[in-house]
Amino acid sequence: MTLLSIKDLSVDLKLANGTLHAVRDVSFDLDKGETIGIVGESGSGKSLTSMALMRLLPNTATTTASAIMFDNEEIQDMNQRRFLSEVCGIKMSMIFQEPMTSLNPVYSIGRQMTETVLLRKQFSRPDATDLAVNLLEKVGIANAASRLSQYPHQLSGGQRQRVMIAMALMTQPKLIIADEPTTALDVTVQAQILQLLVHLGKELGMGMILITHDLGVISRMVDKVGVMYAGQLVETGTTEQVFNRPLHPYTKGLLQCIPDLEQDSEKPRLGTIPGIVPNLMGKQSGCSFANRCEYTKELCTLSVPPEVKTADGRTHRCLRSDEIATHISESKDTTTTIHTAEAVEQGAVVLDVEKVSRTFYVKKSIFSEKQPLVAVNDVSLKLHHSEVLALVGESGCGKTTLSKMMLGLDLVKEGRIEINSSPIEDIDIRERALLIQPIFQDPYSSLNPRRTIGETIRQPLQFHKVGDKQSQTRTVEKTMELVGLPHRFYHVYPNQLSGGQRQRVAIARALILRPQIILCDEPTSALDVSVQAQILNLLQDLRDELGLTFFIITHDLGVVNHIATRIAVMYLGQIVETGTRRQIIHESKHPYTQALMQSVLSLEPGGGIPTIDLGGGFPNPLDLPTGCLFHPRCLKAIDICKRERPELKETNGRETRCLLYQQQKQ
Amino acid sequence: MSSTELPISGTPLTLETETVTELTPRQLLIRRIKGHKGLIIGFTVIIGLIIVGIFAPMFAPHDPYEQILSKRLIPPVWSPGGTTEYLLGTDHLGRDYLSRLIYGTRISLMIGYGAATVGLFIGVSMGICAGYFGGRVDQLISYILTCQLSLPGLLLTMTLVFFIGPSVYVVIGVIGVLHWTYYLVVSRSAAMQIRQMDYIAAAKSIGCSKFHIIRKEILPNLMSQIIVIFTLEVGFAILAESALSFLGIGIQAPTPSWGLMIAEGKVAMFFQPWLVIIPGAALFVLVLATNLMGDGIRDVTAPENRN
Amino acid sequence: MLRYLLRRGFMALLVALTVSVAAFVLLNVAVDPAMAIAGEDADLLLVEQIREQYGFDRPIYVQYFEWLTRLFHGDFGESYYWNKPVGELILSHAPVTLQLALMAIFVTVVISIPLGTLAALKQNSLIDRIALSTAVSAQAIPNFWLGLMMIILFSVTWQIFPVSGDDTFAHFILPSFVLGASSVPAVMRLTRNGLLDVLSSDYIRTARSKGFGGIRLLLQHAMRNALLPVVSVLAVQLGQKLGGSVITESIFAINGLGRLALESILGGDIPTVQMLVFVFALTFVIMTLLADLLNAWLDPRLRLG
Repeated sequence: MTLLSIKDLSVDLKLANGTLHAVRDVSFDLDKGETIGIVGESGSGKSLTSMALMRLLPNTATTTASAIMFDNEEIQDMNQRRFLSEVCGIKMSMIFQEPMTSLNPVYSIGRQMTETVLLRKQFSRPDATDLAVNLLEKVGIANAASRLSQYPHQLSGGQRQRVMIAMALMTQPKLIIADEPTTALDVTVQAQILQLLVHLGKELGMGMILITHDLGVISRMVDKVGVMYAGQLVETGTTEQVFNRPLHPYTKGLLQCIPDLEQDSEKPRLGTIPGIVPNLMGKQSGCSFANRCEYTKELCTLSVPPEVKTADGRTHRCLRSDEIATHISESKDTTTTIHTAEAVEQGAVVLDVEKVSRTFYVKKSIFSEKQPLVAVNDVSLKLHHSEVLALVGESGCGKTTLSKMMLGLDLVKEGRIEINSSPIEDIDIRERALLIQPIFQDPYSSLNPRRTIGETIRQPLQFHKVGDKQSQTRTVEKTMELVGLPHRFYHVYPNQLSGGQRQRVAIARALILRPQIILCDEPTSALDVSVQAQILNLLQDLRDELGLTFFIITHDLGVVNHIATRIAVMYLGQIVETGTRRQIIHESKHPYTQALMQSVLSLEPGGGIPTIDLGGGFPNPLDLPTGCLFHPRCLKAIDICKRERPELKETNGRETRCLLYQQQKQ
Repeated sequence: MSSTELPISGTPLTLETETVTELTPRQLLIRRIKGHKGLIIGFTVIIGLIIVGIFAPMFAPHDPYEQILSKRLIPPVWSPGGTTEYLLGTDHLGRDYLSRLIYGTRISLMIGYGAATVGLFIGVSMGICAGYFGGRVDQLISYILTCQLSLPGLLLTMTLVFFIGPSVYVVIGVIGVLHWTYYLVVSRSAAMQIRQMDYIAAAKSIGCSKFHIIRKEILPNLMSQIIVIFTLEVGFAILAESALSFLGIGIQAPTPSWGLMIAEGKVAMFFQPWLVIIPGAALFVLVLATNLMGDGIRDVTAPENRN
Repeated sequence: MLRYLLRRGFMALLVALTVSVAAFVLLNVAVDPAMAIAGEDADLLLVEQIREQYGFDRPIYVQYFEWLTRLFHGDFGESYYWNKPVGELILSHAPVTLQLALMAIFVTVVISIPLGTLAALKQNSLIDRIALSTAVSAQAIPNFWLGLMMIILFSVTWQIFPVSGDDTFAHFILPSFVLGASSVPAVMRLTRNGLLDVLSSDYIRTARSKGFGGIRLLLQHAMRNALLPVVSVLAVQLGQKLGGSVITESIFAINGLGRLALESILGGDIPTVQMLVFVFALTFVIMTLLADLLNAWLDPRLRLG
């Protein structure tokens, strides 16, 4: 039974300098109880498609379609009053990406949850309240009844997203649209929320449109997939079809970009999609992927590829799919691999973190006592020459605080950090710059908007007075080449570059003084997958060519597995486990690391969302648990864990902070 | 819309990869300026008035101080009884109104720009310190700000100017010293925002000192906002001076100040309203032009701050 | 909530004290009070005599603490110029100013909030552009000049309202319009921009996705959030009007606190001016405190946070 059928949906946005054709001729069908995943990179038009369905687009946007059938009715021409009172928020609900800002801060949870059903007189007030409590319990919120009188700011991000889901279910909709429902949350919470969504969708027999950039999520929890690129649905099919036998070169490229946890000792170079997304102004004259496609022939640029339906019910928009389909599907298995040797032999220790702690004192108001917040708790780490050490942990675990101390941006008050055996505070600030340089997460905030690219990269040379102006320019140009930036970017300002290009500039700036150590704080988490792959490959090349040592902070285990040689896992300010990449990824001993590993959603069509062995929520760092810091969330915790705080103990080159494991060893 | 990043910065569909198609910031600025009528009008009027002020002796047809009692209260040229010799008529002492108006431009502009400059140095330096250093420094400066905001500004200005002794420099000084809160608020929050940027951390990692960072990284990014406030504060100071002079506390007779001219004209307001209307209209045009310029600069330098 | 109340009250007290110090020091250092009493052309010997007689030769902190102690005992000092206790002067002038300020703030609210709301709802429409250009123009009009123009038009030409004085309600109409108009640009812009911000927020998008639209969306979801900052600004404006209507009162010959202040300045009456500065500052501090409390009541993040 078809629930939703969209034919040729287009969205145009009027901008100051022309019309942006943000969504072009998108068509798909969805059956009752079926889930479709719409996947695409930022700017592909996936969110606009769903907003157009809900009529949430701004006035500058115009939506056109040949047909939008929903629940056996054409809703395109339905008048606004009827649309609001019968469809929007009633039969069709939406869950948004930003849990922190999507609830009105001045009204209580209860009011926000019940207002629609009360307004449309679906329920009486007591019934509505009962239903709200019921649904809150269903989405896993404890003390549901008392939550109704609370306000959004009293809940955590994960809880707010659960409330959003419960709120969307209040009217018992036939269709749920979830737009990146878990992107803003921590990995361990992500999996739980997704699991909940899938489960509820099936239980209540709702159709669901899941919009996300995360291919892992899509592959595991949806029935059908649509891949969007530059405003078009370039390919649709069942999950199994699209992921195992892609028909469109873009889909293939996207799949190869994903760092994979299954890969073992040899680390293949990630596939990449060269170039950047075209802009969508003006009329389209050819295939929108032509400028990045390895199979492009002249005919691809001459006409817009029509949507083709294949015998097995799939659709695609590629003119040459008959010729290249087999090649696309096959080459998936034989990725162009260049093996980079894993640094087995350990070099000299270049950076030594010894028993470092950092405590902040937080004062809730001027009358209350200062409370200690231990952000970094007795951390010891050794970084060896030419290795890539990754520090992994959820947000708030203290990894960024530690990195600030390593860069000298924050004082080391307890313990010591040594670079090349001299304490970091004894090293002259200028000299320190030659030893360690950072690369930051957000390429938009890491470049001064008032400087050209050339000036930005040159700044370290200028400040340290290295060489004369001419030689500086030469060095800058050479470094730009090294990171893959064309010379003509020299006089260009950051606002003219894409995120990936900016990140290359930041890398060039960090490299130009040829420091020993590069510290990367989430170097790719702000980038699209295809760009992420480019940057990861670049970092790997730089390490091989220049013999650099990397210290990488990240929450993304996929990235870690791709680039790291050694991994340290951090929880609540403590290192809970360290070891080689293989030891941590494949033979982790600490229950927290194991939970982190479970929460990585790798590509696995129909794999479902795994249950994660992790209890409770992230604890309040102002009120640390007794005994093992992890025991309240640990499903394997034994009695002793509540009383005794475990030490980090070394065995076979790995360190583990777990009483259970240490007992088993004995 | 925050979740949708629109692909407007990429390349056109059919071009080769990685072509730079966006305009440089300067080109973008010029294009925006050309399309902004308010800015162009405001700027032209201000430049015109500055020229008139500087070359007042060349523009003024008469001596603004010369009193010809036989020619008192001649109406402007468009009223019955007006003459072309005195285009805007004469005042109650028989002085040429147009000449006084032209000389009055000097006072308004001097005090407007002078006082706004004094306030700029006080407000911006405190604002950057509060925003960049944060913590205790910020608490202290914010406290000073709260206190300053609680003081009755106009009353204090009047009192101080009156008792110190009215002169152009005293007026500039007092208005400037008492009006810097707007600079402080804006530069503080901007500095706070910039402080969090990763390019500041990058500069620190290179080894740059605090002073270097404030001068080279923070100030350039604050400039456009400071200029905008400066322009708006000029308008404010001009109005403040005219109000003081109107109350008899600011610029003293016989110096031609527009506010003072309104006060003097007030006596004859009921039978010769032009004496009040003309200098008031001049004030209105000058301040309007200043504000248009300020709003315009804000629109072209940071269109995202328009609202 | 109680903690928030205490904290804000404590801060207000601290600010009031600091301001009293600032006002005292400013008016006793920048100004020579003995000279002010004696008059500008007075003989130096007389000035010295006055200085000793009134105790101006003592260290400033001694004078301040004496002033403060007397203040706590309800003694507002004696005016040299009016030959009356300052407290009495202020009390007798306050009611007129209070009436004017309240009427003015009413004018501001009635004009700027509907106009700002309409402008935001129809962004970039004709009404939006009219509202914005009104704001830009109104900001450039010298307030005293607007008052004079009003008198010329409404009192002299059309003779609808009395020219000056404060005897009847009709006397207050023109002045309160003039005084209220001066706050219209700021409050209107704030209403418009605040509402625009709220309307583009994620939680309004959520409300729209729940089937809310039109006037219902505005009143039930947007207005309360948008008016939070407006409340603070209105309190600030009222605080200023309670103390700052010097110009309006002098144009319309209203015998309120503003006029008292002006005449005291011109008469060199430092004790009165000093006490007025302090009273105005205190009024302002109390108004902002009230605004904070009102905001806390409207905004659960402050109330419970």
